[in-house]
Amino acid sequence: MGLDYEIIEKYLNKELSSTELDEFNNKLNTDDNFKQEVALYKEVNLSLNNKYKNLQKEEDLKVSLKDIGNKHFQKEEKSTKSIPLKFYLLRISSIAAILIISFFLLKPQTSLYNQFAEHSNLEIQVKGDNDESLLNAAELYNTKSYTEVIPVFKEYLKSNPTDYEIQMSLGIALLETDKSKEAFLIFDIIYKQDNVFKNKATWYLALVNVKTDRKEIAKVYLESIPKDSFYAKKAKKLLNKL
Amino acid sequence: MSQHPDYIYIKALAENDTFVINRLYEKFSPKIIAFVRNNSGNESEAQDLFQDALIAIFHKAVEKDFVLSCPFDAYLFMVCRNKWFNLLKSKGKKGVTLVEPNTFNNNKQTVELSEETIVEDEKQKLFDKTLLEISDKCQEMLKLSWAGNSMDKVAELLNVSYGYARKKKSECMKRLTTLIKESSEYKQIKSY
Repeated sequence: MGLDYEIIEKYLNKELSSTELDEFNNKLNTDDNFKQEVALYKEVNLSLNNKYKNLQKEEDLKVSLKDIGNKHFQKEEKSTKSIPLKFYLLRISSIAAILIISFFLLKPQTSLYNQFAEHSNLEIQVKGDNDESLLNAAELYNTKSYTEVIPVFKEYLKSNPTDYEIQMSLGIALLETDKSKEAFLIFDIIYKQDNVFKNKATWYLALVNVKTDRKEIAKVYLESIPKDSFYAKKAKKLLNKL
Repeated sequence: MSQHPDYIYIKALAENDTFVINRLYEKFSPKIIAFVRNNSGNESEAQDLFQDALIAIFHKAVEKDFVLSCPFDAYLFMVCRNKWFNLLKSKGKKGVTLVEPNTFNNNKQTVELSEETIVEDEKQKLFDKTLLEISDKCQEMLKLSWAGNSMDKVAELLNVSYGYARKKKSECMKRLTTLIKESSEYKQIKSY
């Protein structure tokens, strides 16, 4: 059949003149074959539009599912290998991009956050070259001068990227100064490093979500804090309020 | 209809939130492993099935008006179960009877949502596979257009006139839909 598909395209784009549209609708009602062709055209268009509009997201998701799946489906081969921080930063940045955008759009939920945002002091032991600046930073941090301390932490971390205690403190300072998206990225990296700061990072990931009013997500983080952790009691209290 | 609270899992898939996805695997994969093992499969097949089901659900998750009308647990299980059933059937096993867990719950909303998810997923796979059978030029043009470019932009990217691009696109679509219509798989999916 020599049907001209350009007319279907025009119809879907609402570009037909009123006489053309009448003619088109008339044909739809009387010609079953035509009706089916239009239906299939729409279906294919919609389906592959869904596929190709989200192709990059699908590829990224597949990478995550493969990684996470390997952890849960082959328990005998549990790998403890950690991934270099730089590599992680790259991957996280793409993964978190969408999360970040939603952080911007949401109003801060400060009251509940304030009730729970108690940060322990940063104690620095004197050992090396950076001590001077770090001691000052600790003092700034402990007196809640968060805006001032952020650049100092950042500078220090350039040469000491794996100092997770300072990473955590930077995250907290960012969170306190409403830079939730940056804070989220830092806590998320520490969480995935699976080190001694993991529970603390989980707790702060929950707080980021409380502050940005994503309560359902906050709950999931809180529920995953182990019962014997230092944060378990606080987590339970916060859960009850959500 | 309102969103079920389990919508967080749908959102996590749409946003690639690895923390929540990790929880999702923790909570829901044991049931699927047990199910596949009880129905002549192994753990690595269970992993592929689980991932395939999550990708199918992802394609629903990115639809703007998608509503999760039942618990995620039931939805995911039903998608896995029916996909596994189809797979066993396609391997030529006649009269397949599944061993179901005793918590198996097939309420109307779960059945409808999972059917819709599977049919759309199978159609999408078929359409995408058929796409490979048309000319490279056609594939390129259609993909550019589906990726969200206006026809103006597509014409510019391909270095052709706007009028030509539109004409060509409709020809490509005609070729593609004709091939789909003729395939036996399409008739099979349609008859579900």
